[in-house]
Amino acid sequence: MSGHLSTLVLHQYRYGEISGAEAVALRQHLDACPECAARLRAQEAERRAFELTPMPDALRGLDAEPGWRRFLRIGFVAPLLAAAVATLVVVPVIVGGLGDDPAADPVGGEVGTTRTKGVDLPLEVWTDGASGVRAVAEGEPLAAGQRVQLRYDPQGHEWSVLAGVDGTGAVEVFGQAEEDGATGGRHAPFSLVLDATAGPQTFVLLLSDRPLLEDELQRAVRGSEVDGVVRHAVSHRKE
Amino acid sequence: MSLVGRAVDGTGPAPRVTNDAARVRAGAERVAGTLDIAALYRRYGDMVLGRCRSLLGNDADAQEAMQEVFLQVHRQRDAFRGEASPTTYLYRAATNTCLNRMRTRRRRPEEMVAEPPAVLASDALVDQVELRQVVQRLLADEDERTVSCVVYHYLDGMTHDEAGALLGISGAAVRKRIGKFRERLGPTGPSWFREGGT
Repeated sequence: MSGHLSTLVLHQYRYGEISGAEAVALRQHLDACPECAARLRAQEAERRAFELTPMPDALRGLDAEPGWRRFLRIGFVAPLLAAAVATLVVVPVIVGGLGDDPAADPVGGEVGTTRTKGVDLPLEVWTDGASGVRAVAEGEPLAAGQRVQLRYDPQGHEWSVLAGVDGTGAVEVFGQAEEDGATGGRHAPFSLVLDATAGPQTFVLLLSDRPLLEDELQRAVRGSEVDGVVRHAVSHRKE
Repeated sequence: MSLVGRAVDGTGPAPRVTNDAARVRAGAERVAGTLDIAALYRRYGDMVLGRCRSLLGNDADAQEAMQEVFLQVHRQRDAFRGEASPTTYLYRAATNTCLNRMRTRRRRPEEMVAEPPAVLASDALVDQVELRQVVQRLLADEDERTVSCVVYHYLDGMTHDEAGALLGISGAAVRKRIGKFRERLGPTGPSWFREGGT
């Protein structure tokens, strides 16, 4: 029993989830251990056989959930509003693709005349006020219960992350999206209802050309420099 | 959490493997922050199916259990997203699902199939038929966590620490549970079991 790699580690190695020095050590182990090498080959053979079998019908019908919908579950989204927002905002995006329709109604109302094509800033906060849908001006306070939506420009990067930091300093990474080098402004396909947490609410856009690890996300959102990550943030006082 | 491989017959240090690398969003199902069951299935279905086969011993049951695992992920999306590694989550879910099915099968012997055809999955470090017999005995008398400890340690070759990490308990707790069970099992267990492990 002793002296062998666990089954789970072999799977992780095969899926490419082990890298660097650890992968080197594993390869050395596999070179020296015929039993583990045979188990790995057997896993690979099972993989090949699996790829030839059709997907079960029971799993085919399960809807893919757009990643940005995660946004709706974060702490400062009022739970009761989340479902309604999901219906109003997320569903059109499923049809139209992830944020690829800048003409879409960002918060469920009429598109106001103040809307601009593209974004002047990489990250803006929009809201639906008495004068229609508009960008929240710099320095303009936000209010608890206010519904907002983020508008951002991937600026040609491959990946974007939207996140928030509330007045207590708590970080919420809402989602990471593959942008495929797209440029131009787009609304995130979700909206938010701010909770009553005191202090400023900061929204953060991270742009990169690779998917980011969780710890990288956390550090970058907090403002630490992370290699290959461009950070944009907007902060609004909350009343 | 760390996953620690063991030394090769004591000839060298065990390659130490952490699961940090697993956080790399290797699959589009996680990279984009989405939960696409089809993508999860395509990427990890072979592991889940192999896991189910190794525990249940026949393909029909394994196929059913595998579907149950992915349906469960779909139902429990939030819990799944909280996991650093889809691999470990699915592996644990498959294990739990299979053990539950085995337990249910024990309670309803009329539904037991005849001795299943041998499915030689890749995953066993020990004789799988023998292991299943031990697990069946475990299910009769032991709590769920002890059963999982035995399976992870003896079937999967995990160290106590690795098994503990999957189960959310300490490696020492795993060692204790296995030790107590071995005492209860006495000299009747299979040879690989009596030899113990690290």
